[in-house]
Amino acid sequence: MSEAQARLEKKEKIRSNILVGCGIAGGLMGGLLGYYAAVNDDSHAIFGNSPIPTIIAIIFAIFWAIIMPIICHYWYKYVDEQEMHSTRIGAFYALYIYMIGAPTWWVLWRGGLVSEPNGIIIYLITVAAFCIIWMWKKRNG
Amino acid sequence: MKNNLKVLRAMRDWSQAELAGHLDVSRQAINAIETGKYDPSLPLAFKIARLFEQNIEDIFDDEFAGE
Repeated sequence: MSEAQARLEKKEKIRSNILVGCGIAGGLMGGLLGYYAAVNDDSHAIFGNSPIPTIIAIIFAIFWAIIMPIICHYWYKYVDEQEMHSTRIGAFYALYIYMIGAPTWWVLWRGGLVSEPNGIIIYLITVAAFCIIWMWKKRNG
Repeated sequence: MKNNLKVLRAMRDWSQAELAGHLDVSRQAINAIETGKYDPSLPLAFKIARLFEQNIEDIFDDEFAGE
């Protein structure tokens, strides 16, 4: 194996480890909330708006506000231009889905046509749109 | 954009992974460029041209016929 290939494989391994690490972290956080939901018989603990213990809220906030930006910083150090292109296209469409979807839901709610906008549902739709378009562009250029 | 990267790679008997290693991009990126699904940036196009010792326009065809 050439030196260039070895360097490439090392980068791919780092990216793979980051993804696996994020998956494990997500699993642990989901497991923690799931455990809390089961113990307290609160079926809305995972994606609902019911209160959660302060310590769990702090752990999650630290992960999203401090650890995630660090992970993203390292992730983007090891991606190539085609991956960045896919990321930009995914982010572009996700932003427009958010900019169009959120106010539409909000005005329809004010007009009494739909239920109150739910921030976490809007977040999940935006993230899902980004992920789908990113993966599609990554596979199809 | 059409290109003859696959031919040039075959002439050197390189796999997509080997070419990716030389260009410091992923194998998926090489596949996307070869199939015309992704147009490389100008710096990457220059890097490809230097690697194969050719001009950019000899590798990539923008299908512009000109005058």
